[in-house]
Amino acid sequence: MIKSLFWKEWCEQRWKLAYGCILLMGFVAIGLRSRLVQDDIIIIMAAGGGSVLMALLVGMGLVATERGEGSIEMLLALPVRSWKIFAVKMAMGALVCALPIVGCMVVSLAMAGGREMSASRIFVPYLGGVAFSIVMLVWMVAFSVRQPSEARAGLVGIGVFMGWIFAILLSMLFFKPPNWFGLVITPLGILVITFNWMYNVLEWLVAVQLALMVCLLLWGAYRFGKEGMVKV
Amino acid sequence: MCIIFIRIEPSSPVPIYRQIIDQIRYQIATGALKEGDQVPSVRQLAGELAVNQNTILKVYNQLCTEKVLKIERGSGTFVTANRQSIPVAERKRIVAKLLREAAVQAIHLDVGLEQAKEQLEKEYEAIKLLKNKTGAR
Amino acid sequence: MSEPVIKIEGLRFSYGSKEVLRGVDLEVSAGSIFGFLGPNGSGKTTTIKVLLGLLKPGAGVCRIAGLDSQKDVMTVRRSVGYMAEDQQMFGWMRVEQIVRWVGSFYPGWDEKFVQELLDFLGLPRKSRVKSLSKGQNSRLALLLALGHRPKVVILDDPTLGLDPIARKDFLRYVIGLLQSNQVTVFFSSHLLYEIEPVADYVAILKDGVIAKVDKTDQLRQSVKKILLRGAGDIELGGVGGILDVARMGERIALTIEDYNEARRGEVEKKSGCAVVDEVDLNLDEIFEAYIIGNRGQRVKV
Repeated sequence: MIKSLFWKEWCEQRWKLAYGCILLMGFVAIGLRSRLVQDDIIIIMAAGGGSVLMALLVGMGLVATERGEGSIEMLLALPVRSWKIFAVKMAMGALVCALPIVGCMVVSLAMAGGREMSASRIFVPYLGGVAFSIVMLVWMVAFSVRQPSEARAGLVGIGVFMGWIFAILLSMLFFKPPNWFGLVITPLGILVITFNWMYNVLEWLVAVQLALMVCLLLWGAYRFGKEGMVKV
Repeated sequence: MCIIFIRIEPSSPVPIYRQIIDQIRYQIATGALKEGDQVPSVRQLAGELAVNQNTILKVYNQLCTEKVLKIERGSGTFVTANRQSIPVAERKRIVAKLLREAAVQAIHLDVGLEQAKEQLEKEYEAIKLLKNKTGAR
Repeated sequence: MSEPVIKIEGLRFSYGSKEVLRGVDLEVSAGSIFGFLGPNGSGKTTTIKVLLGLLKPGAGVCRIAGLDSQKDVMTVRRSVGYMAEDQQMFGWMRVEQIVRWVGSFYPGWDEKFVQELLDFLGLPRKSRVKSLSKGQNSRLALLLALGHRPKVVILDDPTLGLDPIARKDFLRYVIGLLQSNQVTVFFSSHLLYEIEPVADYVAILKDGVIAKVDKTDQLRQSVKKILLRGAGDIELGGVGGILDVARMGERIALTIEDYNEARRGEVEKKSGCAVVDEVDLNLDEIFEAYIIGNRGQRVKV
């Protein structure tokens, strides 16, 4: 039963995995090869931009496609708890977000390891990228789980991202730099902290973000399975 | 086994089981169905007409009670020879009702009594001819 | 009478502030074909979704084969075959893939039976679901509902969007595959002339309650249109069971339920008019009378 759910999600998501891998790994390969800019710029673009891109791409299609096509009705009428369906979707989504970024990391290590930066300095931003991508995916899906189309879900994803930016800007009015509050409370902090090696608030960040993620996952799972009028 | 041509008119006020009974009776009257012919099983007829099996069962049961059909265990359902089991009064009443409708229409459409009688004779002869033709096959 | 297979008691449901079901009571006996009628938007799909545990009712209880629809949701779904209205399936899957996929969720899936059904229903195994015609789509949805050999099958407007030939064929399958095997069938439709040949029982849903439930042929017999002859102000308030009142020239046409000889006397006495004619109605007209009939009390001739 669970195996079937994974199989279905894999068949539906795998082209996004291929797309992400080719796009991002290609970018990294060409960027590092051409040496037009410094290595760390390429890596930050790949880890940062790539993670946002993958989260949006995957998040758009995870639930909203099925709502748009109407096949979600059939899915929810099966003799399997809706939270399990949701969990499998999120797991596969996280995998599809993470793998291209991991792929970029492998390419970067292979091509530029020890060149301008040590292996560990290349490794950490990508790790942050993977974590950020998954977190953004969770936020995006939790908020867009009842959206009736992929486009709308995409807009929600962008909205979530912009919301974080605003939250940080707002918090800058109240907290002087380096503004730990704003960084810990939004997932953007993951990127900033891993890119800049600011480890002193790492525990706070992890705790807050994990707690938020759990809440969002529960909330999303609850609303995923709830039938009734889906707002159009 | 005989193929019965039955057409159900879904929007007619006549109940469906009644329509089927009437059409089977008509086919027997015109000789399309003869004594000894086997009619389709309940399941077969229900499937063919897309009608509830219980309705077909009701039809067959009624026709059996009227001794128009008989069920032979193991073989099937057949048309009987005995068609006179309906009392004369009842048979006259059935025909009278149909003739009343015809009379209403005739008066409405200004068709005179003599013309109507003529037409009735024509129809009567035509059906009898048809019956003899299929009978002599 | 043995325990009904489907039993709905006092079902209430509201979409936000809009109350759609206001106390629905229904019983479906084993092995019967039960037609659930109602105009669009009357709550047929809502009722069915509550039965499947897809919606939580405001009040009331639904039981299928003794199981509570809300408490034993998964058991109910494993024992019941369900075909949703205009069921959209996964377009990218091939027919054989989706059949196998759905089968993995049902412990009682009968693989051999399913293979026979695929041939019987004429479904191309290798085709992708998105390339199926509407008729094939409906047949596939039916197959998926029957694969685990349920004793109860719930169909929500199964012939929606089908051409007349496909519709008739579909009903043939229902009769042949299901009625022959004493499977209880509960199906909703708004095509009344289509339900009538097939259903043993008919229930009409109006304004969130069951306006009428009866055996199909009894419904036809008991609801009649009678013509009254009278003059002046006719008071009909005392006559019960009036579904529709209309003036037809100098006559009053009354569509009335539970009509028989005794009732004829009652109508004549209470209205002061003579009954001059009695007309049989087809199910469309009966349905219309229940749904949009003018329940007026007073008529002037």
